[in-house]
Amino acid sequence: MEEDAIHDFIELTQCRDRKKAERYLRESHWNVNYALNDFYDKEVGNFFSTYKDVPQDNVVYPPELIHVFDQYSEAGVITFEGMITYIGDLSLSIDDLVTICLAQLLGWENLLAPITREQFLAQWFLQGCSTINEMKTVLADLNGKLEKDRGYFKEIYMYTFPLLVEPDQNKLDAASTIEYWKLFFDQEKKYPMIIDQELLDPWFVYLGEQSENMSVTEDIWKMVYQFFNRFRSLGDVKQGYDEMAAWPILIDEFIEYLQDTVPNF
Amino acid sequence: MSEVLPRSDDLEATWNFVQPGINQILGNEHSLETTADKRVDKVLSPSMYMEVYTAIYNYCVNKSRTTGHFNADKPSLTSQNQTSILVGSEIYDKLKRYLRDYISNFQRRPNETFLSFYVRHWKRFTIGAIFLNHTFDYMNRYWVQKERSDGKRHIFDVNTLCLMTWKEVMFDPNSGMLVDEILGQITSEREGRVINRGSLTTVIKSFVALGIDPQDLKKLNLNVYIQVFEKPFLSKTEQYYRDYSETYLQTHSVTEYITEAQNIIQREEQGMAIYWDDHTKKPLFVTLNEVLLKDHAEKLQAEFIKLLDSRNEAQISALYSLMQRDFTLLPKLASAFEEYVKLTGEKEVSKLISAHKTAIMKDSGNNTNSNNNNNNKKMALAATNTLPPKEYIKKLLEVHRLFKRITSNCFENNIGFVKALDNACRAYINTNEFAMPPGSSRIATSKTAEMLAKYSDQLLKRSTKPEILKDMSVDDIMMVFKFLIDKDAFESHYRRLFAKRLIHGTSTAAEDEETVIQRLQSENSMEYTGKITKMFQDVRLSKILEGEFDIAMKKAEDYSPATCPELQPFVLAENMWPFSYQDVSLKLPDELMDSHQKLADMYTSKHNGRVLKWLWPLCRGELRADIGKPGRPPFIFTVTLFQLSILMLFNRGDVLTLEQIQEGTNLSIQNIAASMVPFIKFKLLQQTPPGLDSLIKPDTEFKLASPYKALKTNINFAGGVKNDILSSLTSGAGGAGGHGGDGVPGDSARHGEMTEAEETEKEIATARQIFLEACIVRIMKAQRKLPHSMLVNECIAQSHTRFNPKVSMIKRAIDSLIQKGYLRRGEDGESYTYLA
Repeated sequence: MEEDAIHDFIELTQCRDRKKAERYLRESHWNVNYALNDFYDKEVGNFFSTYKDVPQDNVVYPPELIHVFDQYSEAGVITFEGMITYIGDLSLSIDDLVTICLAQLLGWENLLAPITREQFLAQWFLQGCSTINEMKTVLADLNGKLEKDRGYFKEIYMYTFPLLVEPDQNKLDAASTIEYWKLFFDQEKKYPMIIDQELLDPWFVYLGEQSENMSVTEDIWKMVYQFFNRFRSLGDVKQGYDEMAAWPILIDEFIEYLQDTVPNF
Repeated sequence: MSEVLPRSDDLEATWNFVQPGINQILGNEHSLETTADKRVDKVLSPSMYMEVYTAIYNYCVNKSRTTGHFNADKPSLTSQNQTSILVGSEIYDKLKRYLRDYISNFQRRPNETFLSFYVRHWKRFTIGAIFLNHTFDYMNRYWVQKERSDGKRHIFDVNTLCLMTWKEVMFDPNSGMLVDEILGQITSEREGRVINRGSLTTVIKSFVALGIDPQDLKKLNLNVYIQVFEKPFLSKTEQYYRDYSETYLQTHSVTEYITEAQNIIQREEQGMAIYWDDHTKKPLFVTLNEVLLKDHAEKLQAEFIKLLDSRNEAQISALYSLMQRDFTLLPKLASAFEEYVKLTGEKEVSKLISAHKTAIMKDSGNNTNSNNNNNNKKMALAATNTLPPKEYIKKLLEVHRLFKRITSNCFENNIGFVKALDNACRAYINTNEFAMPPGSSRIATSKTAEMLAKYSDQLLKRSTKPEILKDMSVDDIMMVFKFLIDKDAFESHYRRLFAKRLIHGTSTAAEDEETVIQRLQSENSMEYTGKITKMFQDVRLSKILEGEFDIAMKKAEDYSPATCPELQPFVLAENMWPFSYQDVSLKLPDELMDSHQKLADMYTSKHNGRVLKWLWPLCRGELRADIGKPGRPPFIFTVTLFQLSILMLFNRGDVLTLEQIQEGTNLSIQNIAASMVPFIKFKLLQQTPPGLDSLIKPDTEFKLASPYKALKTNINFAGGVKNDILSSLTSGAGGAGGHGGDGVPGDSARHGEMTEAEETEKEIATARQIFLEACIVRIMKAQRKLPHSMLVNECIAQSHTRFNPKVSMIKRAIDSLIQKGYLRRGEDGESYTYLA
């Protein structure tokens, strides 16, 4: 009787962890329906935070999924070049923020780090995808989430810096940082972080003037998010910006730039 | 009056017996008119006094024994009958009634003011009251005391009864009129009329005497005085002087008013102080301050500035001594003083600059194009660059000295003013038209630091004009140093100039240098003078090395003065000295090779592991040149090492091409050209073809003048070296070329100066960044985690002895440390964590 319940539960939820299944069932007095409700309440949305949580043994991956992997892999891993092709086949572009969602989904820690077989298969298997088309659907969902969910947007933003930075470096060059800032912030109100154009335009002009001797650390990357999160318009900045607070010098000087260039600021 | 004493149990008889005596004791209306107090004594003979006393005594004692008998028909006193053996109430009541009648029968004489009427009677009455008190002594002691201790607080001893009755009958109904008259008298005195001060004193004292607390007769009580007199007096005073000062100021100057206010205060607080009780002292003080000072505070402050302008110390003191009466007025005055000193300092510097500019204009005989804007700008630049440090520093000190004197003479060195002076001095000494020319960037360092360093250099450098030094002193340096904010900049400039003095041996004396270093050290810190001290030590050790080397050379077998020139080595610790090592290609003249090698060997054998780098561009030498007319003693040329290398080549032949010179010395074209300029200028070498452009062409020939004709025997070629000769050749083709070979020096010298100043500026900025980073690491290491604002404050606190860090500088240092991985910003974005 208990065995059957566990079996049903696992089959329905795709939860491979027998102990977890047992726990949910026991807490629900072996009522499968209640256990399922509980399970979906708690686990849905973040089935497993990374592929590493997925039990490795006894998993039989669908052959279609393995086929997808083999298509892009080389010597057991997918390298940067393989990823580019793969991203292209997903009808995505590298300068599309969904690509970063994909990277985060796959646990791709850095552009130059290869993606392993386990990583790729387990992650997609968790999502229940085996074909390129199925993957496209998942990514479309993520794109929708990115446009609505502020928390997810921030998560992806924060994920971007370590993904882009070169392994032996701790900063990004000005040009690519500016490109990504444009992707995140300057998108015609596409994403949940809506910033007044009056504030955003001078920001990019200022960065353009600075770009020669500017490089961006993770600290600045994070603080820029905090800055725009707090100040959405020129008015906000005018009212609430405190030079004595802990803003990095890049932002302080941006405010000076505003004071010098924007009339009546 | 030696009648038989009345029956002791008969109240009426007793009263009738004593009443004439009482009458006489208090004095009756008619006798008062002509007689003084003495008369009472006369009329009231001792026997009479005794009889009255005895009658009252008997009455009280006997009645007590037969208590109840006489009082039976007085129901109001029945309670007494049963309990008390002391009697007195009937006679007390009689006395009370008598007194009331007595006082209300006083008659004012025609034309008599109420005041003098009051005083006249008061004087007599109070004396009488005391005697009366004595005659009723027995009653006072027993009956009154008993009654009071039974809680009957409306029963008083006879003296108090007199006063209370006086208050009730005479004073209370008339107090308004009385006080009006008093205040009228006081106003008369204020207006300069003579009044009867005695009666005023008496009447006011009577108010104090009438302040009786029925509950506790011994307690001093000023209620009557305060309510009836002090309050109206103060408000009258306030009104009077409010009107007076306003009217006065309409017709008089503020300066006159200051004196007048002082006089008023003097009169009120000292001359008229005899009138009132001590209690009034404080409220009067406050009132006078209010109407005489606070109400006119603005005018007085404005006047203060005028007085400062006039430097009139007596008047300033007068104003200060007025204003210091109210401590709330002082901070404003002190801040006005601060602002004034600051402005004066700034103005004085600006005046100095413009005077200097005018002088330059005149000197250059420039009267044609004063409207030429470009030229004006150049002149302004020249003015700031050529302003003698001594004039500048002396001007700063002059302002300080002036106001320091005023602070001590006029403000009694009041702490607020001393602080204001310090703040003001710090402001104008660091920021003025010269130190921070308009338009300087926010993080620029003040030029005062540089000027002070130059001033020190002038003081410590052996000079050909000793009269300049006459009024210069180390104290001057220290005084300005104390106020200097950019102390690190001073150190940097000072070190640069100090290094030159040491290397060129131009210090007046080692002791003088040491004195300054020690004073800087005690004023700031050991660490502050660390590098300077090390430099000093380097020179001392180099002297020892020089001696040892000399001995070693002379001991050598192959020693001869011809092959072993004298050598003065300097071994300088890297990073301590403001010299940076440049890898310069140079082939040392053969004559020096041997010494160079031996010195290097000797040093490295002594200090194993130390690496010697040779700063060729700083080396100088003296050269004996026997190229004059036959019979003339040899010339002595002071030259740089590069020049020396070049000249040594001419031992081989009188004419050399540039290419040959380059081959012989391995020097770069630039260094050769720079060294050549003074040779050509002083006609030691003749260049063919001539002109600056040919100076750098390989086949240009240089011919040694032989015989060389010069007036002096000692000639310095080293001073004329122009290191940027090539840059002026390439960039300044238009302007400089026109002037020819010797038109440029002034210009290029300034150019060189600027780059050196920029270099120092850069060095200071770097040093600050390093200092701040070290400071932050030190703080964070101890604290582990700290909010942003606390870290910034701590940084400012730790660096103020060197410079005032701008928040932006601290932030830059923080950013840099985050990048280097020493710090991490907390999740809140407003604090930092130290990463070990």
